[in-house]
Amino acid sequence: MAVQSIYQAVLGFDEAKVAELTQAELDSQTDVQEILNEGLIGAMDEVGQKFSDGELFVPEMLMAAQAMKAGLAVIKPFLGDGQAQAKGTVVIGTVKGDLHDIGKNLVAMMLEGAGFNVVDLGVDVDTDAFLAAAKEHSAGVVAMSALLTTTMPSMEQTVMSFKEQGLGVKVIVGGAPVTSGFSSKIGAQGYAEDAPSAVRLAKELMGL
Amino acid sequence: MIETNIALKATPHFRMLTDDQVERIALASFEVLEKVGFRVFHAGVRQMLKSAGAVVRDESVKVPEFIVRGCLATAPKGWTIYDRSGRRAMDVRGRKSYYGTSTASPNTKDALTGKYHETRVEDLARAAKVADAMRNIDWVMPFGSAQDVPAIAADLHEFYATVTNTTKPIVFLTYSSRGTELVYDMAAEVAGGVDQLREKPFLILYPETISPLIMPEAVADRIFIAADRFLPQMMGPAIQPGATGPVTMAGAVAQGVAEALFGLVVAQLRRPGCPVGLGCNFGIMDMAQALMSTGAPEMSLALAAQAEVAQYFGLPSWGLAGATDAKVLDAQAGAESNFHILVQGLAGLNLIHDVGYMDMGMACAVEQMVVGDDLIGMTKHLLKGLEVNEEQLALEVIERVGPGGHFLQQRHTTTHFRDVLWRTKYFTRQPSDAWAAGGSKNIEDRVREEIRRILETHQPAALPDGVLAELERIKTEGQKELTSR
Repeated sequence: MAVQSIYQAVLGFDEAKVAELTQAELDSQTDVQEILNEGLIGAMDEVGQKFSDGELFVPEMLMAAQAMKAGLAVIKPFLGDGQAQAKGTVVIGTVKGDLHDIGKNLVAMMLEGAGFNVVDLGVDVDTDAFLAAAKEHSAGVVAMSALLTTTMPSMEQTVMSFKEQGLGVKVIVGGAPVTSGFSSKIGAQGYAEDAPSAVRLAKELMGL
Repeated sequence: MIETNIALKATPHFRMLTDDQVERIALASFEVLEKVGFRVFHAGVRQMLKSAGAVVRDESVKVPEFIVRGCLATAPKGWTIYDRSGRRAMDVRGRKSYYGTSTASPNTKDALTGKYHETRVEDLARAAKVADAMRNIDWVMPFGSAQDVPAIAADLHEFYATVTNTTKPIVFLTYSSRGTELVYDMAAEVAGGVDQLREKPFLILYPETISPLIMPEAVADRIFIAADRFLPQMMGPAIQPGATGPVTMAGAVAQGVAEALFGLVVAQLRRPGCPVGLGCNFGIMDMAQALMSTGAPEMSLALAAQAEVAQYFGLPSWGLAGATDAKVLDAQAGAESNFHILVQGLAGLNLIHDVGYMDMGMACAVEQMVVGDDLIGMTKHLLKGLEVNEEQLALEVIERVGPGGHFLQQRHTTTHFRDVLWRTKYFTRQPSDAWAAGGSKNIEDRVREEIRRILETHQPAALPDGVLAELERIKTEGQKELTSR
């Protein structure tokens, strides 16, 4: 029953309340998996559905994701390995030379909202940093963004380095000037034209 | 007879804000600069602002109001812009509106086939040629970001394709500092020298800082390069309310004005008196798609408000109209583009760009630009207003014709109808039988025919062979230099 109130607090975008209720559930010995699946993730599933139905909009979805994360932080120490990152890890950043990050931020937030563990490297990220983070966090997907046409060549460079290193990571690209044609030309594993399709693409590539 | 204190002609206009609201937003923008400030990735700019009295800590630069006011005092109030051949083309001040094309899209809707593909240099050349033939397109931007040349040198190709195909003034953006210098070198060749270019500028730089409140190093360099040459520049940050600025328009405008003023401060401190405009774009984010619209009504709300603040400072203002989110030339394309063309004309914005955008700014389309030309014609016609005087009241003619007569054979009618009645170029006014007999052509068919005709027959004024050769040389050697870095 109280797990239901966590669910409601996520739908009410109430970060503090989600954390507080989650802690209370832990204290009263409620199963961590139940809190996670029926409270936090269950609420985000409904948010996702309402977003698809046009009842909720981007800022509301992102607020709900933030509230969900507050609860996740509380239960994280009690989750077994891999359970908290049920959907795998995505390393994300804007490519070398590009400081435009609103699109990248949107994708990162939506991925988190969908249950991915997101490692956000920020802006102006060079190939080595992408490689190192992908290894360190055992990423399933690396997502790169560019707004300037002049920074698109560094996408190609990074994709090539990932191939040379033989890492089994899937690299996906996006950003206003990036096209699916460019994506296939440089040998990336995928291209998304907006944030929701980036989430779908990541799920698809990770077999989810 | 003589009559005093009478206006014989009034032109329509509207105000978005009261004087008090303009003042409040201006003060709010000063506060943003003083309390929040910018993050600046250019050491020279930070040093310069520190010497001027700004509060600089690491990359954070907070600019007190006295610096901004000092810079506003040195920035020229309005610009005279010339065409490529040195004739006066635009008086960019007051409430005078000039419409220009869209730019920088990775894709193009092909001028001849209407199919979407990656932008090529050839697309820019065609678009400039068509724009050159348009009556109401007052200035141009390179019509897309060329994908068939090295990205780092694309600006050279884009400027070349544009300046060789139209004499109209050019607003341009560049992809590197060196690229900016090389474009100016080309422009100086066209003008007949660096001094001639400064005396009669036919191009305006468009440096774009990042919202919210970020100045990348390369953008600062570009501002310096234009300032050092005393050539006009229009600041071009773009705020997406709710994403990269407040969702409420007053706050978005205050932040936008602050961002444009920061660019102005950087330019004025570098070279007091250099020409800088107060520009900022507002791209309305669709909250269901998380994508930026170029047709949403809030865009003109914010742009008109921002322009009133620019007018209050006496600075040239920037608009965005004639664009559509539609993918084909349909009712949406017409409605969205016309809405903003009209509203921003009524609001007296100075340089209104993006006539020709389709698909949410992802593609430039010559057909959209050509329809826009007709729509701008309608707006310009309305904005002329009407005169109320003896000749225009025509009481004598009404009396002469009398009840039941007609005006078609009156000298008064033949004298005036060409001036007072606007003629469409592309909208159908045929009776339906004639329309069907002519092949039931829709607007896209008619516009496509016109584009084909212009591309086959229109000859833009040619540049002298010597100048062309020099432009070609700068382009080729410039590309070599830029790509070998």
